[in-house]
Amino acid sequence: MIVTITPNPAMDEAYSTDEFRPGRWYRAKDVARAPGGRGVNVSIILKQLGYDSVATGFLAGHTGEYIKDELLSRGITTNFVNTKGENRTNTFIKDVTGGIETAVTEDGPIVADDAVKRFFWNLERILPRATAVQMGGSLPPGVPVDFFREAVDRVKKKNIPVYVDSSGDALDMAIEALPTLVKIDHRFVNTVRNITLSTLDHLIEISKKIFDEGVDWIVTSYFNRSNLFCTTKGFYMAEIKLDNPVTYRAASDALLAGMMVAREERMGIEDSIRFGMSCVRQTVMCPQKGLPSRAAVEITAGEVNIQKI
Amino acid sequence: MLVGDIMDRDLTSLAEETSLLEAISLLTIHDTSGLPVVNGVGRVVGFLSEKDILRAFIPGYLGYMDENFSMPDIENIKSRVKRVGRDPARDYMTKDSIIFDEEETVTNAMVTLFKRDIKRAPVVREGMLVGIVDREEILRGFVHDNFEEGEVDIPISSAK
Repeated sequence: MIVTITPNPAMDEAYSTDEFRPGRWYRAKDVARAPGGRGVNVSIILKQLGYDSVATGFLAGHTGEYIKDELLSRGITTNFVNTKGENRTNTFIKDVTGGIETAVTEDGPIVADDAVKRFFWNLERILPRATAVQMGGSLPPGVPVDFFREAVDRVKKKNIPVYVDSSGDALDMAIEALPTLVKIDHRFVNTVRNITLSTLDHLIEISKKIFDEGVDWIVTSYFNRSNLFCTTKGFYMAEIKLDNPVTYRAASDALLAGMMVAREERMGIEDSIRFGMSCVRQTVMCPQKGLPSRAAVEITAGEVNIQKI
Repeated sequence: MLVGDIMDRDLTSLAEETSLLEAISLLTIHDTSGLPVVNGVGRVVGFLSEKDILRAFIPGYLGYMDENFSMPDIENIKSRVKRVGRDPARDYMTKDSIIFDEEETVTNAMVTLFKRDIKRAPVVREGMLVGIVDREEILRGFVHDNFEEGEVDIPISSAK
């Protein structure tokens, strides 16, 4: 059983308009609501790939109820800590003509110390049944910045593979605990460990540094279609074809879900990269949250272009 | 249809050492009347309901008195809440509570819930908590199993 940790879940509300400019009123052509947040997305995509997971984190208010109900109705197990306040609503506006997406997000509810303690109590009780743990996204106010580091520490003590996808100090601190895989989203992160992520050389430099510290996999996004993979067998650049991308919102989560499935199924390094990148392709092209099916992922896995560098 | 098909796959639970006052707070924030109590590895060891907590807080003598003489002394109740509020759930939970295996049929579960007059019960796989079912889900599951669509007035398609 895979465990996903989303400290700051959200309801994603995506509006499509023919065009979008600030200062005007628009009636949406299409509205799509879905539960969101890094780990929540991973749980949804894992289910679509045929894997059960337990979604955990903090839920609050009506939005929290919505997120939980949606996950339960998709057959995903939940073990959230309820807290006061209201979970985030992340609003996305897609300008269909220009193909540009605008996003407005919230901070999330203020999470009290006792809720954080309760979260770790829950985690300890699930870990004996866990085969892998994924955590990521932002931290809501009140959750200490070393939250991911403590979570990685606890998971690693049980010898369970752990995947982290975050940014800023929370990511830097998580890396100190040496997770199995670290995903750095180049689009949202300017620096990691004080290295500016502006060129491929910089991405290689930071990946090498983290690898030398003891992390087996470091994945950094490189423009929209590519990811750089630093592995025990060297560096790979993987690229996917994107004919009509719908949204990049859950692309990173699709990659992690794919990489976790690859590990569960003991795929080799190149096959893991192909499978993960194919999950990204299918998710970016899918109008609904997540990807259409595992079969679709398998069909396009062979089309992923991989180069060893 | 099996209990595992209709349960809520939610693992919200109390620890054996959760205090009664903390349990009140958790029942409130999770908007529920009772929660399974699990040990350190997630094995279900009991169930603590609001009724169990009430029983712990109301002085025992009130149960023996005739209804007309049951005017509670608020100071008695307050001192009892003070005394037992920090006691652990394990001391007041129902230890022989109903627990369904996920392979149990919905019909059996329905009869059991009726006989024991309980609202919700934990669901386990090899003793480990995997979800929870309540009367509403059991009833919908039973109707779904035993009637054709249109035969009764409940919209069967809405059952999970």
